Parts: sequence; structure tokens; C-alpha cells
Amino acid sequence: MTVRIVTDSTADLPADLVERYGIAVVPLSILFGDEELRDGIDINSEQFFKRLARETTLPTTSQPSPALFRATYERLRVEGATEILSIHVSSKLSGTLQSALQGADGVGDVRFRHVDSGTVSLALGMAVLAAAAVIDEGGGLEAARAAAEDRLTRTHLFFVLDTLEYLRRGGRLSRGSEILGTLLKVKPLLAIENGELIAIGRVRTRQKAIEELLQRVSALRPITHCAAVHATTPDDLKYVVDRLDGIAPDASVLTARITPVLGVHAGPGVLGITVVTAGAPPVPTPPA
Amino acid sequence: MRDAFAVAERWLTLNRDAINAINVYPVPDGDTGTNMLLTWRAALAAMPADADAAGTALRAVAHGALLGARGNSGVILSQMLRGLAEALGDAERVDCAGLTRALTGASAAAYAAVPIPVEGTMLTVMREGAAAAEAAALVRAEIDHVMATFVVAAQASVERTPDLLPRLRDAGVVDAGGLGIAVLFEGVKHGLAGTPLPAPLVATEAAVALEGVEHEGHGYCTEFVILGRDIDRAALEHALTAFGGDSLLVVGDAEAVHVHVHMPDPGPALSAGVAVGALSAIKIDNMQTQHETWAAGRAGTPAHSALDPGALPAIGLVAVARGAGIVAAFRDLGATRVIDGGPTGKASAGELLEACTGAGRDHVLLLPNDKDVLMAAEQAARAAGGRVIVVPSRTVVAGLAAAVAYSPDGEAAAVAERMGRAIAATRSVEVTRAVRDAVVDGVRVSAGDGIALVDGVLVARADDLDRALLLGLERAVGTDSSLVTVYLGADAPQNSGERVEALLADAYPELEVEVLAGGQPFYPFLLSVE
Repeated sequence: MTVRIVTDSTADLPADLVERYGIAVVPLSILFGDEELRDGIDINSEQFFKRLARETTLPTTSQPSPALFRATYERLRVEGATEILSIHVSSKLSGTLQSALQGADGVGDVRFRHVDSGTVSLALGMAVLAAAAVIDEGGGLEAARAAAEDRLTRTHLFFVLDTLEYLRRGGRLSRGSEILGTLLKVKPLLAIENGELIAIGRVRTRQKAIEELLQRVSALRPITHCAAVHATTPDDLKYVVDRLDGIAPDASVLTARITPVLGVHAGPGVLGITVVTAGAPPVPTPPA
Repeated sequence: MRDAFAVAERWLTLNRDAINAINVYPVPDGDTGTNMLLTWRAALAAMPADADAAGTALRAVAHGALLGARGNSGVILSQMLRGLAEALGDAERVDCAGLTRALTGASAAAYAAVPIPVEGTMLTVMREGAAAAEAAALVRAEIDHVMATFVVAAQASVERTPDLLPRLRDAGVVDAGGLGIAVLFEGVKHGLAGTPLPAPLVATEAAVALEGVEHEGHGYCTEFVILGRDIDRAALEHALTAFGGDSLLVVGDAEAVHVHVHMPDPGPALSAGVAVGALSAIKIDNMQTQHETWAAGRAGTPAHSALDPGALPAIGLVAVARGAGIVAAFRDLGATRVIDGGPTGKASAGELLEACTGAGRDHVLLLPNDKDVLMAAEQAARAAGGRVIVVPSRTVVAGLAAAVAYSPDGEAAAVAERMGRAIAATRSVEVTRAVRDAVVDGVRVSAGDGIALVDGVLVARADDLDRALLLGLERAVGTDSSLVTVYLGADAPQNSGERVEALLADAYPELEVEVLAGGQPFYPFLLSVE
């Protein structure tokens, strides 16, 4: 019995962890006009944000095809997989999970479990890692799935954007857009709740936005795992990591640069913080 | 007693400009005399026409003042009237002992109304006047004698205010609020004694120019008293609002209700009144003529909309603001209502209360946006019994910073707290021209100078507005500043937007700058530094 894990490129997982756990990452696509680039394969974050700054027409994104999932699952089967846990970006943000389910159809001799993570970025990535750790210690498909799902119930993801422009165009904001306003420039604060991207607040400056996010994170203590992602602001990432070390001294902080597909919707300057709380999800308390 | 209050109103009207002229701050919108007068008029209007007991009449007066109070001086005055009324209780008429008790009660209530009483203000004048009145009553228990002593002591106390308050000494003036108290009680004294009024402090032809300013707006200012039984004030308010009534005040009890409402047509208001009781003291004014005096200085504010209660946010937001651009910004940030605060911009407690009514399902957050509206806002919040929370914004740009942090959902106290933090992290710079010569906060200014206030404190004068703006920013910008937002006033010079943007890009290349057309009166430039 061999269990393998499949996820997609929106998990923002660093290459070394992907390699260590033998995780298969199916890429979404970025389209600059007719030019289709596989996320993280044909274009990495460094190249993408450089190009984004030059481009006059903004790129769009596309979910992986069922055929691509089919090919990935077949490859794992050939490599000896008998069970596959496929964990993906929230089905309310992308059709990726749908493609994965279609791709699995007809792949023989493999037991599948598909998980709608209801989230994205390293919040998804950390759920994948929870499952990978279980498998690494000899656990089976169901135990790995349970570990991922348990972690997801305790995971919170917050973002600050530098501008609303990219998100508005992408149309991924589900709720709260009315609080964002249009006259004054504001930095929107966003969160993933119940699989949806929602606006949770707004501030005028980036510095305040970061403080506000840290405050919200702090209110969720005790915290067992942290992660932070950035696009083009390594100094801000470092600041956030230092602050997270103070907020959750016992948790190491996983960091990554956001993948191009998410960069299309978030724009340069996005900063995200993911935390996993201890035990059952706490009743959210507003910051004091 | 009605006569005494009416004479006091006349006397304060005549002296108003003299009182306005000695506001310490030489800014164009700080009119203590006008605010006290509007408060007193609201008090007078609330006096029942046919009250037989003095105590009852004064209670109605105090209630009228409470809701009509404008500016901090007006709020303190309304608390004095409350103290006066409470000391008299149900007394049929005021005897000498009652009078001294009432004056002392007024003083005590005023001190209790402010968190940190400051001497050299109207508090001191009331206290010293009341103490002198008590002493006088021991010598000769006659009302005229006691009142005359009060007035003399109050006037002497006014003269001493610069000794107690350095900012008055610096400015070379006596305290405006204190002078207002002395003037009002001097008027009451003449009214009670039936003696003629002397010449006003400064006889100016401008004194009548602001007559009737509380009747701003279009249509008809309609006031009447309803006498009846089991009058449902809430239902009446609802009906009057439904008829398109504005600036609505429905004050009184189940037997007697005083209605003040601005209506495009006074007919339905009177009909609504007749439906629940007998009308008396009917007074209808056409506000158009008075409005024209003010129209130039006031930007359009969206009329109160009859909001669908289902669409109301759980936590509403009400702001006091003027200027089309500023009002639009508050609306854009989600304010349920924006009111303009009347002719002086100092919304009364009653207006604030009315604006808050029905502005949110569970709670309403109130942004006074002016340090001189803060107390009226707190008075309105107390009257609303916990449903209204004041977020203490002392300037309009602080209010905008707070509004950015507003959200219509969540826990009201936590949202208010977040908004308070946003205020704390914002510096306000107000740039205008001095309206007269003064020395304030250690800065000597002449009429016409460009002046800059940072968080309400005058920090700089300059020959022109641009330089004043830069000097103000110099004080407000810190090492952690990252964003400056500039709101251009209605009378900002031509092409100010580009010029100011260029000025700031030159002086502060590291700061992000956003320029918006605020359209606010009095202040050509308002800036926030975050």
C-alpha cells in the first residue's frame, strides 16, 4: 500500500518540501493574451512579477485540465501508488477540484480521496503537509485525510493587498466589497471564510494593514503553526516573521513567495499570514 | 419667568457678536456667542405657554436646552439649566431661597458635567456668581437684590478669567462662555425687575444679521404644542418623519408635547398634531429668506433618506460634516447619515440624537468631528441610553480616519475601539486664515494671516496659505508617517490640487500624497497625516 499526495500550484509549497514528501503539484495556468504558461513551471514568481510590471494588458488564469490531472494520477500509479489523496484550492475560488475529480475518473486500481480545502496559499499548503507527515510516519489514506481536514478546521488565512485593482478584475471577492469604498485609497484586509474570499476591513496605510493583521492573528492564540507569503516585499515578510516569532514562540514560521497564479489576482505587494490554532476552533474574539 | 428668559434672549442676541469676537481661537467657525444663543433659544422655545408652576416650566426649559445645546458652551449651559430646574423641584413659584438654591444647583450641575473642570471659564463665573448670591440673600432676602448681586459678581468673575487661564491672558481676552453667562443672567435680572436694558457691550449693526439662524433650510419651520392625554411621542415622531419632516424635535410628556419640525408644507404636521390633541402656541416661519443668508456658506448635504429598516446596518455610522467632497467620502466609507451641524457646524444634541435615530439596527457610532461638538454628542449618547457610542473625533479628518476603520458588522464596542485607534494614529492639519489679531498657543497672528492648526493646536502663522500648510505639516509629519491626504476646501485658491501636490512632492518625496476635493467651508486645506 503506497499513499501519494496531489495538490495544485496555489498551495504555495516550497520546492524542498514538495521534494521531501514526494508531493505531486499540478499547475494552474497564467495566460498573457494567447500565451499560456504553467504556474511555477514555465514561469516562476520572480519572472512573473517582473513581467507584470511591464505588461500593459493584465494576465488571466485558468484551472488545470482534467487531462493534466489524469496524466499526473497515471504517473503516480505507474510509480506504485495504490491510494491518492488529492487536496485542492477552495472550490468557491477555482474549478480545480472539479478538474481533479474528472481526471480521477477511470484511473484504475487506485483508491482516491479528494479534499476541498476551502482555502488557498499556504493555508492549503500546511494542510497538505499535515497529511504528508501522517503518511511519512506510515499512516494510511484515511488517517492522512483526517489530519488534513482537522488542520483545515483550525487554519486561518489573512491577506493585505496593496491595491484592489487586481482583485476587482479577477472577480474573486465574495463578500464585503461594499466596505472597501472607492473615493479614498484604502488597503483592503481580506480573509478566507467558509471557502470564500471576503473583505474584513480596510486601513489607509500598509504599515497599519500589517499591524491590523498581526493583531487579528494574535487574538487567535494559542497558535501551533504559522506561515507567511509575500510577492515583492521581502522586508515586510521578514518583519512579519519576526513578529510571528513573538506571537507564537513555539511555532516555526513557514515562508514562501506567492505563486504567479495567485499573483494575478492579488497583485504585487500582497502579504498573507496563515496560522493554525491549537485544539478546537476558538470563538473568534475581536482584538482588545 | 417667560419674560425674564425672553429678555435674556434679546440681551444675548445684542451681545452675541461681542462674545463671538473674543473666542480664543481666531478660526472662522468658533462662535461661542452664537452657540449659547441657539441653545438659549431652544430652551425658551420649550417653555410651556401656560405652565402654572415655575418648577414645571423650568424642567421643560432644561429639557429643551438639553436637546438644543450647541457647542461645548451650549452643553454646559444646558446642564446649568438642568441644575437650576432640579434644585427648584416642583416649586410653584421662585422665592429668594429657591433662587439661591437654584443658582448653586446650576453651578454644581455644570461642574459635574465636565470630566476635568477648568477654572477661568463659565464654570467659575457661575460658581462665583452663585456664592455671591447666597451671601447677598443672607443680608437681604429679596430677589432683585440677589439677582443684582449675582450679576455684579459674575461680571467681576469674567474680568478675572484671564488671571486663571493663561491662554486667555495670552490672547488678551476674557472668557467668552463666562461672558455669555454674565450677559444671560443680566438679561434675566432686567426681565425680572422690569428695568430697561442698557446699551450692549459692542453695538454692531451685524448683530441682527444672524437672526433666526436656527431656522435654516427650506420650507416652513413649524412649531406647536399639543395638549392631550396619552400622547404617543414616538408615533408622532414617526408620522412627522414620514411626512418629510426634518430637524424634528418632539419633546414633552404624555399630556403636553412640543413639536419643532421643518416641513415643505406645514399642513400635514398640524393635522398630525390635531389628531392626538389640542394645538396651541402655533408658530410657522418661512425659512427660505433666512436660508439665503446661509446658502453661500453651506455645501449641499444629502437629505435624510427614509431608509428601509431592513437595509440598515447592524452598526450604523453618523457623522457631522460639511463640504460635498467630505460628505461623499463619509458616505463612500459607509456612513448611514451625514448631517451638517447647522449654521455654525456645531450640531445640537437634539440634532445628533435625531440623526442617530434609526441609523443602525443595534448600535450607532457617532463621529462629532469637532472638539466643540464632542459634549453635545456625549449628551446625545446619554439620552440614547447606550445605543449610541461616541467615537471622539475632534476634527473632520480624524473622523475620516476613523470612518476608514468602521465596519457595519461585529461588536460595536470593538469597532469603536478600532476607530479610536485610527484617530490616535492620525494627525490633523487645518489650514485657514486668521479672522482677527490674537496671541494663541504662543503664536502671534494678525487678521488675514495663513494659520495652521495641528490636532486643534495653533502651531504656525505664515503670510500665505501654502506656507502655513507646509509649516503645519512640518509639525505633523513624523518618521513613521507614510500617507498625507489633502482635502481642498470650497475657497481653496484655483489649481490648488496640482500646486499642493507639487509642493508636497518637493518637501516630502518619501510620502504618498492623495488630494481630494473636500469642498469644506472655512478651511481651504484640511490634511491628515498617517
